[in-house]
Amino acid sequence: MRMANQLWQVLMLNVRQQMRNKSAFFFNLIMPVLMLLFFGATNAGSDTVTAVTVGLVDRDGGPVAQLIRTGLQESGYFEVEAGEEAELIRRLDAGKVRAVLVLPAGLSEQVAVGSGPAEVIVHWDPTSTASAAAQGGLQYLIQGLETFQKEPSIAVRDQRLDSTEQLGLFDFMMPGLLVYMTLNAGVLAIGTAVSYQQRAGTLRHMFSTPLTMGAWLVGTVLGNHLLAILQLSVIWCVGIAFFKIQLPNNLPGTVAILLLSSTAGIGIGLAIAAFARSGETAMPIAIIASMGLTFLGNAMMPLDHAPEIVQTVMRFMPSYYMTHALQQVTMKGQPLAAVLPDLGVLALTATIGLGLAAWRLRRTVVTAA
Amino acid sequence: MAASLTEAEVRSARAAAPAVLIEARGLVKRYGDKLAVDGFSLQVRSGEIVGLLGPNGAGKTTAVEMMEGLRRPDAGQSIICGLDVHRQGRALRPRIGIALQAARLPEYATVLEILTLYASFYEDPMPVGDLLRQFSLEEKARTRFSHLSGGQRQRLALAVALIGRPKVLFLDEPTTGLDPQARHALWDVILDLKEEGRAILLTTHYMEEAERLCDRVAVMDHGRILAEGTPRELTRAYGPEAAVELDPGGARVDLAELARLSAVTGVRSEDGRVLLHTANPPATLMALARYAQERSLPLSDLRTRSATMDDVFMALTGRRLRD
Ligand SMILES: Nc1ncnc2c1ncn2[C@@H]1O[C@H](COP(=O)(O)OP(=O)(O)OP(=O)(O)O)[C@@H](O)[C@H]1O
Ligand SMILES: [Mg+2]
Repeated sequence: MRMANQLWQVLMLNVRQQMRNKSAFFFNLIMPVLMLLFFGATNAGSDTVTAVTVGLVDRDGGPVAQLIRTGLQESGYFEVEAGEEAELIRRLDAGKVRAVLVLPAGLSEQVAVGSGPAEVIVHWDPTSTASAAAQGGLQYLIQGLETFQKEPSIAVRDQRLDSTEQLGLFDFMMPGLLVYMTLNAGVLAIGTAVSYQQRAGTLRHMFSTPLTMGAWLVGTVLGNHLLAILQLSVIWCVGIAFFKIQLPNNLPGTVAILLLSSTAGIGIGLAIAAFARSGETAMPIAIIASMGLTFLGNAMMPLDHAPEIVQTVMRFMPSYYMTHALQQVTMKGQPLAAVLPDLGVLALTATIGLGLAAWRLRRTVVTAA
Repeated sequence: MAASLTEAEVRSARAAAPAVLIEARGLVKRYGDKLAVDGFSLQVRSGEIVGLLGPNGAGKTTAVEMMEGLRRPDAGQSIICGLDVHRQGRALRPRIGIALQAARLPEYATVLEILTLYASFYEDPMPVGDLLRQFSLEEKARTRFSHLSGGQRQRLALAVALIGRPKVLFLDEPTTGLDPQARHALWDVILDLKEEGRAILLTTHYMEEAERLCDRVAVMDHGRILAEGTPRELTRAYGPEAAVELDPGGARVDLAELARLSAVTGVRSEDGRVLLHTANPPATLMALARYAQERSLPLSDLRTRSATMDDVFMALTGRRLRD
């Protein structure tokens, strides 16, 4: 009973800290909502992606060109605007079209003869996420059409439907936002708050009482869990209200992954706070860690096409496994059993982080040398 | 008049003496080449306030935190309520109240939330409402720590130290940074705590605090206790009979000449004022009046006072407390 009260008090200490510190509150809750609104407003109007206008330069005029044009139009995701290459590239630059597909002369002939892969060119604008998405979509679609050459026509439609996944903005965004929020709260916000408390003597003061390290850690982790659930609720409510997002496909599974991710995040944050020399070093390290984990963890940007080295680094990021688990369970509705390896990595991260933090804080805060 | 007591009387007086609750034995702490604390031994009994008086860097905090078990000593032992602090810390934590020097309580929590938080750490905490009343913090109950004044923060720190009903209190500079009024108010609270039979060890570099609050004072510098006793014993043993202070009104005075005046045992000047230690105030005052007349010195703001802890410190170290 007394232990429960103690945990509750420590938990609330952290939740209050996060909710009342204006900057922590902003980055924990407002920023992700703004990100969702910005991405959502600039990229989509509904739960599915609206048609993207692409330019088509048809120098072939043959059956393959016709097939591609029909394929694009029928997919429902593209509006085709035919024209000259130079003019269309100008419109791409101006953001009027999102990509320009150039079908070279003799394309149909080349495909019919089967003399090696025929080259089509996609111009796109890497400064625009919409353009990147359109480029990805075009590639996917054309690859699908290539298969069509060898297989019955029904197979094509299947391939095209699959392509919604490539383009479905929120499929990518919601897990990414959750990972961002979790890391922000655990690594950045709690990490810097605890580092401050350590510097200001607040922690020393608390540990000069009968409070144990174990109780403090559990209370602090539980506080972060409460925050994670709040974050999940807020972001999903906004998503539902503005973009007709559906509830997570596997809600209990999503919550379980989120809590484990939150524990791993706060483990990293507390370890940084415990080992940093001062608050001045803890802050930049926590920022670098949370940004690195977010961006190199496949969370905010897809890294499927990133260079080999980045992909290798990515596999060492706990956030990569958070993202993957959430994509599988939250968006695709798979059971937790399908992401056990991801959960294992997260549990290991949490154990190591919290263990290191406890070990270090015992030596620096509870009894100084 | 110890001489008139029989041995039996001395023994029974000892037996009746309140229990020693805090005891440091030969504590040593080294930081690199520096001996921060060098063989520190001290006892505090129930119902007693003992003050550690010393300038910045004297080693007060280091000594106190070794006694509390918050720093590991290189040598020596600390026994609180009969328990070895470093071996039985777990058992001890509930019995001691600690106000760390300048420790900040959680910024974003209110007074009430902080007291409730700390209360949850103890088996049988004081009712939070009682503490709010005792420390006049009722009106501030819903104010965040970051919005409290210095005096309110110190009062809250003291309330937090008391939550677990400790028999032993460690207060590291409890009134530093307060205005005189707030300081006096806090002294009254601390004196009440002593009346309740607690053993209190406090550090300070205010001589007035040591004189008014402490039953015994240990004067500390460079990690060592230079002298220990009641304020009266110390001033009698180490201080001059009295001190004469004067303001020469900007005129240049030769300190060496002043030192030769009748009964003067020491001279120094600071902030434009001149301070003479004397073994015989009337003699010194007469001599000083003659000296001033000969040189037509204005001699404004002339004061005579009895010796203080500051004078004791000066006599022991050749320095002032607030150097
Ligand atoms: N963690 C530490 N590492 C290195 N040196 C230290 C450490 N703590 C204290 N010292 C040194 O030990 C000496 C005594 O410091 P301490 O804080 O005990 O003094 P103090 O009497 O409490 O001073 P103050 O009145 O300023 O609080 C100082 O010279 C200080 O620089
Ligand atoms: Mg100190």
